[in-house]
Amino acid sequence: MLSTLIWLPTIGALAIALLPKNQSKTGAAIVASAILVLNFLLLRQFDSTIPDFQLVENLPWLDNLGLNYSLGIDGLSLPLVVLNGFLTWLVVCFCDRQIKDRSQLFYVLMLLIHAGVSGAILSTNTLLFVLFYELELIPLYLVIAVWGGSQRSYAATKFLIFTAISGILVLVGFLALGWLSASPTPIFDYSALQSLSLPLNIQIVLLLVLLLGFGIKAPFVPFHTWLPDTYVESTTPTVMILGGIVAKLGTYGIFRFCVGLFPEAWTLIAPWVALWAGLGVLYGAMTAIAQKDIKRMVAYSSIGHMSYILLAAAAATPLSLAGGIGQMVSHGLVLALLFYLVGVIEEKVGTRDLDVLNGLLNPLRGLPTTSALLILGGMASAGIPGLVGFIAEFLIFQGSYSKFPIPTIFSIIGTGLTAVYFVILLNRTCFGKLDNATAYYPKVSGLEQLPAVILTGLIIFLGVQPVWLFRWSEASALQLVARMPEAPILVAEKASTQIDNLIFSEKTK
Amino acid sequence: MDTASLNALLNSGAILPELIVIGTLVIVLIVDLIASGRKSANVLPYIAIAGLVASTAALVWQWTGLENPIAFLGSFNSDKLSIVFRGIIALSALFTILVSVRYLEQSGVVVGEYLVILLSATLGGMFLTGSDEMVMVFVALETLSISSYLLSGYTKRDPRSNEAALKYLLVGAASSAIFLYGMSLLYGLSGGETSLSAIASKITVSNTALIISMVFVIAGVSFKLSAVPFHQWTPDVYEGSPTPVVAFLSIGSKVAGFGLALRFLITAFPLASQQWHYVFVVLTVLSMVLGNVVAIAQTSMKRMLAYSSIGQAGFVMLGMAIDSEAGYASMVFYLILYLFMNMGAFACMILFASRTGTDQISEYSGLYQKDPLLTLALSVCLLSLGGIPPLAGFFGKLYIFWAGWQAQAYGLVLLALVMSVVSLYYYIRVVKMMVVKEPQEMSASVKNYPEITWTQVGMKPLQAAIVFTLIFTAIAGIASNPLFSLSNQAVKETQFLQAKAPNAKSVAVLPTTAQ
Repeated sequence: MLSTLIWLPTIGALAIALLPKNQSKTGAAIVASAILVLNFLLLRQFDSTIPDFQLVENLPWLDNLGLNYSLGIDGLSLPLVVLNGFLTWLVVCFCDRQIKDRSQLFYVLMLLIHAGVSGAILSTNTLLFVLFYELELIPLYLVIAVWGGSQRSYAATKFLIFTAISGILVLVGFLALGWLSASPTPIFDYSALQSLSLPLNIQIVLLLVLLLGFGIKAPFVPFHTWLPDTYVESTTPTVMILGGIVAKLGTYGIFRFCVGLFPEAWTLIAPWVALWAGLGVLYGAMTAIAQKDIKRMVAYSSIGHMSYILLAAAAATPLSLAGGIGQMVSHGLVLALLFYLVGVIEEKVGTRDLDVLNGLLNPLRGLPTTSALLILGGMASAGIPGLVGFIAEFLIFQGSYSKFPIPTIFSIIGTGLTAVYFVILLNRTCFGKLDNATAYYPKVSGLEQLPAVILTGLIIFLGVQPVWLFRWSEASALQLVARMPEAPILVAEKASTQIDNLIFSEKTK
Repeated sequence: MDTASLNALLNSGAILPELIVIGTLVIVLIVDLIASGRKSANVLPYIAIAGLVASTAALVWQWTGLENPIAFLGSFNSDKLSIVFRGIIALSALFTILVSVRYLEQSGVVVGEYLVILLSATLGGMFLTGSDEMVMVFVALETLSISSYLLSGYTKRDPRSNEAALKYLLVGAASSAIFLYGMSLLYGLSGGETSLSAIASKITVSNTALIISMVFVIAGVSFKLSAVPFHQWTPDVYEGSPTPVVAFLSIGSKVAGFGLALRFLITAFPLASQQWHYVFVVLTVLSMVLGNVVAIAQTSMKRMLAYSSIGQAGFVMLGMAIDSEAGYASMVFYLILYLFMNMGAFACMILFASRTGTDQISEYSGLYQKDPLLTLALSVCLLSLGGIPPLAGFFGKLYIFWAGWQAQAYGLVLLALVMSVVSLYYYIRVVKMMVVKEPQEMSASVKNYPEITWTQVGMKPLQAAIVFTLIFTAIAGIASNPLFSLSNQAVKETQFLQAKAPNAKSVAVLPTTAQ
């Protein structure tokens, strides 16, 4: 089952490379849809009451290196796997209008990226994780460098170097961990690594190395400088995948490896991490306010929103962890929606400049539906109740406040500032009057709106029915917390009902 | 001494692969003399290839079929390590011939002598990795070197080739002289022993003279490995020499150097073990840094690959510098992979040059449109050299880094990791040229790219080499278990590596920091 999720896109990519050029789109759509169907099957098969890895697959591979082909899925990875499948399906089927030339290569690369992300999320062997983590590097580099804006070559190189360094840090962390735990052969298996007890100072060093590696990928301030360039220079489908799911590998890595493998050390450095996260939220929001380019604005908003997840990981309470996983999915959806809409606006209007855009909400000559959806997406991003962003952020704040009040307050202020820049954005683009001389925009067809409508529907649905988002990861989040040194099991159990109550009360509100 | 025991002492079965190469060489020479002109040019390469295949098959037989590896009164040792190294050298010669046919045809030079010289270089390399005695070492080394000089100056109408040959000859002869001086010191110190193991047992104290002779030996060996700072000849010689020759020099010659370095240093200098490992650490650091950093600035493919090969040698030397069983095994493993990756890159470069007549990196721009196969093969080989999963190079590097980490050479591994990012930058620059560029950014050479045909003379072998190396580079990493066990077995069952085992750090020792 899990292997199919990795190998279906890989084989699909090879098949598309061999297909005639005009059939590559059909082939890719079929493969992506098959993956989506598989994801539904996976959701049905998944038992959300089991906190451990399910559907485990284990094959010996390179014993000399301790590298085994071992896959497994738990509550932490399931939402991301499904998000990955969904976004790839959406991008491949509906969002590829900008890919005019060399579309065959595009589909091949997209499916390879999909396979890499799935592999990284599903692998339960740290070396295997690194392998998949690095595997995405080249397809992503090519996707950024081949299609996109005028500065794409620079942006792609920057992305390449940052991500390669991130991969190296992660590899170093895992090699060190594997070797320090050697008895007599090094351990790279996740579950076996969990039961280790290393001296605390070594744990902290390893933890910092991994945190840095994943922090570059996510990215967190001050390692984020690749993000604005890369996001802005990428074309819409690329940035939807890159921001929507690939960057989540960084936060997933923090949850899975930093929190999961070093609970004691994590508790020690958590206050600093929380502060880092709080400042990151503020930084992202402040810099977004200053931007004049809507894509850049959304890119900076992403930095802020990823920092919530870091705050959630730092607090490591059952609520905040569930919220953090929810925030990964919610941010993936919202970011994909926003970047898609920004892409449509750029395509139709021909500019992304806040000083030029105006009055797009005009029902006849503007882009009314796109603008309306943009308003909704902006609200979802800013944390307006009824939409998915609110639930995730609220759970994070609720879970973190008791532990780190100051960073949580920073983050709440950050949410306020998020609202500020989205209002600026919406005000300058949607409201106001159209410029009579230039406002002859092409119509947005129904098919062009479809991805945005699907995303919006999902965002609203998960906003009013949050159980569908959170019920998968509850058990795994509780298990993560139970490994924290000061958390007795009882608290965790109590918290479980607390989550249910909270989500339930959200629902009825 | 009766004939039977003399036969047992000579044990000439141990050099069966070399005998086959010699036989092939003689046949090539004779056929070239008898058949004239075109006819011989068409058939000679295939004779040579058949000979090398037979030689490789003999090596495969030797892996299990040889009872006593010691031959020629102890001067030649056909242990498993030397079998692996000889195999790599023979295969590199085989691939070199495959990629040469087209090149020789185009540059209009004589085929027969080229093959003879190449085969004798192969012979020298193969003997070098197995020689256990100083006279033998020197004879084999000079056989390899002199053939290499001749090969690098083979296209004699090209002034750059002449210059390369002269430069190579002068530097090489000087380094041989230094090496010879080092060996003469050893001979004197040991009271007149020429056999490497006898030298080690005769020298019981470590003194300045021993260190000096070690340094001189390393200076000679490093020239073959093109380890910084003994590398200066590499870029110029690579740029000037005929490209297939460069392919052989960067693989066969280097592997022979590694074989020599391992055997000579470990067997003859057990007392200076710490010192020569220390020297190798320095060489590793310098090679990795200089090779990879300077490669960024190159504009010609050949020069870039020259610097890249210096950097790659640095990675391999890392496996040697850490002095552990896993380190040596990782080194052997990486060399096997390196053979295919580097040969693939060179084969693609030869194909591109044969179609367009240039090897400037900027001329590759937009190639994906005209020649997808070449683009794919070159990209895969370069990315594999850069260490991108799931290609062969990634697993090779992973094993080296892992071995380094377990030997607690943290600094070296970190540096190597950083340098592999640097190397990724220049490898991917070429991929970017080929894949990313828009149709309107196509270079002049690619715009005039000829129709792809595989029917011309020499194209078929070139194609075979490219396809084979491409498949191997793509698959060997994922399915590397056989190669892993091969290289581990080579290290485990080689006597001189095991004899030093008490000194080596055991694989299973926990680092002290873990307590």
